[in-house]
Amino acid sequence: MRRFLAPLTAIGTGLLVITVFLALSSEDPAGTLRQFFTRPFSSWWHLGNMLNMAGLLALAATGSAIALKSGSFNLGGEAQIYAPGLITALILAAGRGTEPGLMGGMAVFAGALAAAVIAGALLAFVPALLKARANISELLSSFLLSAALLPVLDYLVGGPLRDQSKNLLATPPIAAWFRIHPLARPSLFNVSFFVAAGLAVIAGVILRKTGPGYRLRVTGIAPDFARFAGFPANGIAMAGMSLSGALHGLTGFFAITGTWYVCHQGLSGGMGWSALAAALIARQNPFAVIPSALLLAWLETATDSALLSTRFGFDSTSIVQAVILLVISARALPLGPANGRAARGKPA
Amino acid sequence: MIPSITAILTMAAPLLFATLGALVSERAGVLAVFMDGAITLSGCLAIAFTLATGSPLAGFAAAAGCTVLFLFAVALFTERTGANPFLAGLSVNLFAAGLTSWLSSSLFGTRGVVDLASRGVAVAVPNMAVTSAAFGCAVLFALVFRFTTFGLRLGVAGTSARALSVRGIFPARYRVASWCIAAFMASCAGSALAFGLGAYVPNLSAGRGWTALAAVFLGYRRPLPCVAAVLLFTAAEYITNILQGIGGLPSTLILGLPYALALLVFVLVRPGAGRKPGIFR
Repeated sequence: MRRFLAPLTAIGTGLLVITVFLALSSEDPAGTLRQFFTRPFSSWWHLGNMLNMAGLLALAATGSAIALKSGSFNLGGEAQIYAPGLITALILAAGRGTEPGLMGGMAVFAGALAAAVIAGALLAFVPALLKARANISELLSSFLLSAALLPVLDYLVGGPLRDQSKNLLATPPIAAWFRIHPLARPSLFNVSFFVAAGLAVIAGVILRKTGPGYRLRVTGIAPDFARFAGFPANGIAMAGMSLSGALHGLTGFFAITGTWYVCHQGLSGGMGWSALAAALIARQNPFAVIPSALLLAWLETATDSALLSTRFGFDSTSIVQAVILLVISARALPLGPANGRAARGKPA
Repeated sequence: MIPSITAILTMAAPLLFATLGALVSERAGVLAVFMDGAITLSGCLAIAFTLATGSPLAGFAAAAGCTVLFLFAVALFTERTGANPFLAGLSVNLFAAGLTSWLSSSLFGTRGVVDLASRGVAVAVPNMAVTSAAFGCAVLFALVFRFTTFGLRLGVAGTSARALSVRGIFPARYRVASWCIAAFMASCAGSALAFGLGAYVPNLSAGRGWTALAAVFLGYRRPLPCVAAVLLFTAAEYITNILQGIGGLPSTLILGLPYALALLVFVLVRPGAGRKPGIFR
């Protein structure tokens, strides 16, 4: 039971803090809180969109969990979703006026998928390489690389690559035959949810039951021991980060093909941070990523719904992410016996 | 030439405050990743309190008090629970983004620019005084690090916390104190930015918190070389502003420059080389 204490405390604290903010922002706190808890389940539209969001989060969170298991923190999720999303949108919008035929269409679709995955993997590989070669913390480099790239991507989407025929700050829409069709209209719920769930299970099985998975876990827990055992620790860490980036890239691909159909400015919209929070809540276990992504998706959908009945809007997602990240980052919450002297920094 | 130098010195003050704050935390071994969020939060609070009291000094004091208290609580939480200081700092940045948008909406009725003059409060903070204070702080910090027990212990808390523990001194107290000092310096930076503009603007820090972290390492973790690093960054910002003014650089791209610059410095200076503790694992 104790292993669930930190994740439950994190979710509970996030829930508590955001409900306080929502209640303070509303003239009718009771009504707002009612909206918060009931609206996400009030219609297929809300429920389907929430599940769709959970699928995207689970996909990226599986990536974050793999990086964490390999001993690395991938904090560049935002750009690793956004850049591949932009690449996907550009490739799939290129042939809009002409029907490519079944084989041609499949080839273009697969090409966009591969490009998105490779772009995500490359963006995560750079910080891993910097860590291996120059001992630069991937915490810093992955975050800074992402933060430096996001304005560039925003500039491209809102400037040179923008669809001039529309008022949106977005690229031209992808061709209709490349769109993944919703399974439960009018919501956007689609097959990407099941792909995410399947990949999370596969990642969990590989990590637990296979040799490469074992080596990755050992490298994450004890890199020096891994080196002593003859494992290529640096290579494994780089592979972990690259896989993480690849899954973020896949998230960007599905965000375009299954949800937005265009790449708009700020595509990732905090998804990278939410994915990291979901992976931390899941205690880096890919099997637990699905329920934790569902919980976070519910929290975000509920907050968005409740915001409609408040006097004003605010950046609620950042508050939820911040609280969860802070609480979950604690190694020894003052709730359990693990809270020893070392954690408190007491003198010997 | 002289006007350019004066402009660069004036522009450097907020970044210098932030860099000195980050430097204190870095010496204690817990780099203040939260500087960016703390600058924006304190700037927002400074404008809010100034509007409430009519006095910029009271606005600054109240904003600094709130920011230090908030970071003291986070530092205490981080120490008590053994939380990762980098993640704790990042969560402060995220929280500051949400909190400032909530404060701005609920107090001012807008998530955009909050102008003091249009709301009937005139602020005239002399640039020379702010710049002198920033450069004076750099000298003061150099003296404290070099000649005081506190400065010496702060450095040992970062390099060899165990040595302090063996002597019966709590290194955690120095780490917490360093975050409080960093929070105060972030408040100085945030207030200088807000009062300089005479307004609160969203994303007030514009990446200065991250540039400050880069300046700490470019200045080899010493106060006076950090001043040189800050002046170098500010000169680059000055040139960028001129380029933007003549239409040579899109404003959206400029938002990414502090992060790109910080990453470049980290790659060139390699602050993690030969170090184990802290966030440079």
